[in-house]
Amino acid sequence: MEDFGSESFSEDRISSLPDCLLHHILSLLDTKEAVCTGILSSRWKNLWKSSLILNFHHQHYSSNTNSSNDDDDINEEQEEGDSEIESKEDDNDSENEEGDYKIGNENFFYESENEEEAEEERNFISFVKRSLALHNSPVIQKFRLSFKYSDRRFGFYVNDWILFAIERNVKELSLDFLHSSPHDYEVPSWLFNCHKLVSLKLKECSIQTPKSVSFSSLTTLFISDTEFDECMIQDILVGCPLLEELVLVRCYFEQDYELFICSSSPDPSKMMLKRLTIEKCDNSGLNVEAPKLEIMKISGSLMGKYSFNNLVSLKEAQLDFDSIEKDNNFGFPSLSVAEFHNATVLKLCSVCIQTEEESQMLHGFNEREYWDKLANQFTCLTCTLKTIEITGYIGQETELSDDSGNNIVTKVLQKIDNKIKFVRFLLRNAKVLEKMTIHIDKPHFVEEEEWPELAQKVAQDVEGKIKLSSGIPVELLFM
Amino acid sequence: MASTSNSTSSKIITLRSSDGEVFEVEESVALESNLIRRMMEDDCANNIIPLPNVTAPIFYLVIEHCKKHAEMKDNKEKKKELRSQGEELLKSDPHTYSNLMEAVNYLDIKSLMDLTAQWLADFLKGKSPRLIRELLKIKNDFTPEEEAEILERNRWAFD
Repeated sequence: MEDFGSESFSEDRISSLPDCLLHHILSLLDTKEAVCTGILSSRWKNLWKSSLILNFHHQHYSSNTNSSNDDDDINEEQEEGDSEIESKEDDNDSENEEGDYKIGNENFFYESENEEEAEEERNFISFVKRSLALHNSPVIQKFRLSFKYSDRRFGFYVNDWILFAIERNVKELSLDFLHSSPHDYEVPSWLFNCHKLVSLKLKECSIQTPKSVSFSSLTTLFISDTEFDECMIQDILVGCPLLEELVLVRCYFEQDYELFICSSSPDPSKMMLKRLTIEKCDNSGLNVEAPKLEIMKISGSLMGKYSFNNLVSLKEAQLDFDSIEKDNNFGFPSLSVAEFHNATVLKLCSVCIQTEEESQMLHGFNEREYWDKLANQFTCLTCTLKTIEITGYIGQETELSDDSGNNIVTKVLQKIDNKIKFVRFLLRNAKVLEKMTIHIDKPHFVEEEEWPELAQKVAQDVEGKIKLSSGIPVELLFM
Repeated sequence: MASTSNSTSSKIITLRSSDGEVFEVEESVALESNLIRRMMEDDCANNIIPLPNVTAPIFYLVIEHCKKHAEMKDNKEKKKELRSQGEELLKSDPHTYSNLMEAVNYLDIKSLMDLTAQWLADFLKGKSPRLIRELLKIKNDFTPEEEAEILERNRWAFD
């Protein structure tokens, strides 16, 4: 390259950035990409070998994909939940395309296994092995691995790699097995006694209840797409005295398992848990008692008895149930949010105000009783609650749109009419409310092109009815 | 101990770049910088804070991106937009990029550190070593033999 004009433009300033900055940059790349920068110049040749962060993502090694699809690395912590869901969906798609998973045919699957795939897996393994052999930093901060393997024996390599990281006092470990089942990677029990780990993320693997759990430094634990014993969670809560964040996504428990997130020690104030996320798990009921808990997000289907106790530090609660499921043992689910009285942000779905079974409501439903009961539940309304957000305002019923336009308007407005009472109830009872947001989704039975006009009518209608009751700003968002 | 009041009204902080230009910045923006935060904790007086390692044009860029970063919170579109801006800067002016990166590092602004590092990481992805060298003016100081040897030894990575 010839330089033209200013001299400074022809000089390589990037390579003169300090090691720590270049390491930071390399840590955002897959280790394969980081290794490749070694060819740039002698300045770059050995940089990757002392990087404190190693990322091995199997999909970067397949011949038919290019390596630029890890979008969610920025602000990973904040978006963990969302990005997980997206990537999971992707996984499902690719699995369906392969189309080889057939129940009852498992024994044959691996014999007729795709040779190309196996080759890829072997390449990946040899890459990781060589990288680790050349890596020369005495400590590793983060070790991230995502690996989809079909040969059970490959799991042993994974154990070696984890050991490599642990011997270098790794603080953050993330393992994702990208739906390797039925040969699930079985997390070795010795991992559960790793005292230096601060953050552990396990995805799509199998966990046998370890003899003991002792993570004396662990503050963040993320488990997704995994099945485990009911006693595991208790062991974890006991064995992780510093645990501040627990995330469980699509975890499967034994049938009718009521999940207990409580301290087992006589002094519950020792429990450090500050953030709890439970997403689409199949627990029948939930019992949370965590005096330091600040943020709680629960989604999935409501089944069993949900009770909350001693949530004195709670600032934000999100409950988003997509369905109510009756359970043979517990009957109609029950949920009490009376404990959320300290929350300043409360996100609830309509299921949360369904205090009675529908059949009961039909036989002698007393409206006044209902509102009184609800007011007792929402004790937080009176003195602390400042933000209310209502989503899915119209509901998602699938009705055919063969009615005339007029009828649809009436239908939508009728649906809203029922709910306006609830909004009024909130506005009447929330003494320190600063803002209310109502998300109004397009109902299925309304055509896309009809929606803008209808939305306007809905807005007028809702605004007209709410304005009468209070001066609190209410924002309507149409989706 | 400094006990700056916790009032939310935006206080103005005065800063001076290495080339003598004086900047007035809202406290909330200035405190994104851990360096400035520490300096303010040490020095309770409302003096002008000197920044001997940052020139005015670079400091201007820093402030601009601090503001943009604050705006993009919870906005995925904006986040993507901001993330994609690095490609252009690195292609047209890697020199300014390096200065910006060093300033951000010196000022210790975590959010911008993550962003600027991501810019270069994204930039390096999927480009051939030859192209990277050309765009970033990196001088290939390997002899052809050395280069061939590295390629050969790291074949497993260059597929």
